[in-house]
Amino acid sequence: MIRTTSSGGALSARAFALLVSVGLGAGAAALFLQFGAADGYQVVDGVRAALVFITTFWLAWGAMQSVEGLISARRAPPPLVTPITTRTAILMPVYNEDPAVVFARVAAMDDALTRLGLAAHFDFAILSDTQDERVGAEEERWFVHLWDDRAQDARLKAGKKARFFYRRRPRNTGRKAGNIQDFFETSGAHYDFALILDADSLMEGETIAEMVRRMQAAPRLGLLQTLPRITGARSRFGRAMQFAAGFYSPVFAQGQAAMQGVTGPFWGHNALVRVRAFAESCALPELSGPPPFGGHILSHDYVEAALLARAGWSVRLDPDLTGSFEEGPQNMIDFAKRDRRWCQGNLQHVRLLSAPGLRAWSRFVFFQGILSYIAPLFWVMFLASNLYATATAPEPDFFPEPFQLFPVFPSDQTSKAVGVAVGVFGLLVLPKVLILLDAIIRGRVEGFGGRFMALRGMLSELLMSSINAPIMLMWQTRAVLQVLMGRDGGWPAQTRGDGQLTLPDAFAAGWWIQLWGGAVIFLTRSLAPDLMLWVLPIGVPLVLAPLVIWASSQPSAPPLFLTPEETCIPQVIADHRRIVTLWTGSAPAAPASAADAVEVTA
Amino acid sequence: MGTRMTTQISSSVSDGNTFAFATRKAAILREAALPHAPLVMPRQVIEAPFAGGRTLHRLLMACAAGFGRTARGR
Repeated sequence: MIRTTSSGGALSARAFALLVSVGLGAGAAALFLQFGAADGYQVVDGVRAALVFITTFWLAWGAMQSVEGLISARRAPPPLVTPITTRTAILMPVYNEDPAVVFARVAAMDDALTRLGLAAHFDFAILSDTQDERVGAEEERWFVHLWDDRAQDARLKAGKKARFFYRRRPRNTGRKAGNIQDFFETSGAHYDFALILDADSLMEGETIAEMVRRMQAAPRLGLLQTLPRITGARSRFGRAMQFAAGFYSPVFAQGQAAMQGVTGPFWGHNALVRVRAFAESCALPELSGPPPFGGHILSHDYVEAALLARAGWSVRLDPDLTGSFEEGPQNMIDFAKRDRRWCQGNLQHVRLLSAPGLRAWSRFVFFQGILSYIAPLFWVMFLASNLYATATAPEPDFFPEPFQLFPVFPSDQTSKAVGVAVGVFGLLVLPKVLILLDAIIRGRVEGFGGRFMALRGMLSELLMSSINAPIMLMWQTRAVLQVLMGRDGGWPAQTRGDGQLTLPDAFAAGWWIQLWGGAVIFLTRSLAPDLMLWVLPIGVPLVLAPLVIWASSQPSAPPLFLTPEETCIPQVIADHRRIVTLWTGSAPAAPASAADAVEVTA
Repeated sequence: MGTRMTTQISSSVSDGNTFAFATRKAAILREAALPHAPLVMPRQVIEAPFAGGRTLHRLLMACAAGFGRTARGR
């Protein structure tokens, strides 16, 4: 674990990653240029080489994060045992959610803190931004239930103050950031720290206590972020993502922690903030002009992390903090909807690249976020430029000199293009293979069902993500173009539930992708049939998009994509399920269990 | 007649329960209001809308001044 990477350590980690990524990008571009210019240099060859540089650099940068993560991995330190002397508000922002399920999470976390004898140091505040009156009325009804369940009347009678609060804003001004800010401006002075959650967040009591102790021990620490594990997935798509997040993300997060030092990230939830630091530095203004580039800042968390760092506070990601959970989208459509919002939020950061006083790394993080959404455009441009270059390639001239006796065959540079393709594939696969090997050596595979099951999960996830990638690429490209054309995506509520789609749903979402797939294959066949084999891995998933969207939303059960949280259900998750069943009379939609492998931790 | 009376009684019991719950809910929501402990959050400056323009302007002015100095030096 990296508690506080020295600035020198972070700088050398960044320099190493940057150097290798630029080197690999430049090498790939040089090889591709030789291949492209074998029949004589044309402008399009330069364009293709530049696109190869950008896309390879971006892939290499991602791969380097995993390498840095593997290099810098340390054994987690023993938990702190210092007494808790501070007051923390646990904030649960809600927006048109199912109140019974959400409030049961509050109850489960309260139980976890009560078991540790630490409940007195924590209050829970449900911060509702719900705009649907019917859901709002349900929230009030279920809050009464929570109040009774937590015996708050008895607490008041004993002369103690309530520990559970509920507030609903009539208008959700500033969205989640505005919701949190409203809490700080109303009640912030009452607390030292605030644990910011999402409506689907769950955290173990030990994790919350450890975070508070770490923040107590580091007076300049402004924000402490955990790496939430995805749980509760039930579909093929959801469980593949849950497996990937559980298996790969800890290593990538470790690499990120090594590179960022104390200019870490904020992902908007499952993070502890120092109230004074946050209040001093994080009141966000509206950006001038209309959405999508103006108005409220959508991806507020990145900006808040940058503002804390600007004010001199440390922002840290501690990947060793386990017991932090969230839920993920269950199907590709919900994923794309969330991605549309994130895309607009990240592209909006272009306005903040020149914000006064920001740390260089914070600006780089904004740039990285922007590039992550623009990268698909470069892939699309690369595909189009290759079709164009092949279709307009000059006929080989075997007799370039007059009265030449023997023909001159153009030098075949195809092996160089194949080399680039193999390298790109390697950049995609190698980090995953290295993480698998590392997990075997450290014994981490046991939670994923052992070596064979982890390998099977890795290969299946690789196959699924290869099929899904072209479809995601189309959605991302559309999202970027919509934002660039000034279309505001708004702030849709998150979709929860099992997410199982019907074929008509999938067709409604994917028909236009199918048309593009058909067009790509048709154009390749007409203009550059030699490229057909290279285009089919992209074109076929596009043509089959509705089927892929539908099939990936269907239920899935272990042992494939088994995760440690399915092998051994964490206490707070088990408590949440138990409380929902108790309150509503029906069990929450839970993933199919890993048969006899499932047990609840004591 | 009997059925009608029973319906009326159960309806008034139901109304009474609804009223009691609404009263209790209102009392709980009052008790559960966020504690009053305001904290000032100063609005941050994050936009430098003309930063590029200002830099360009400064650069041009510096160039112009340089030409002026050079011209005066001749």
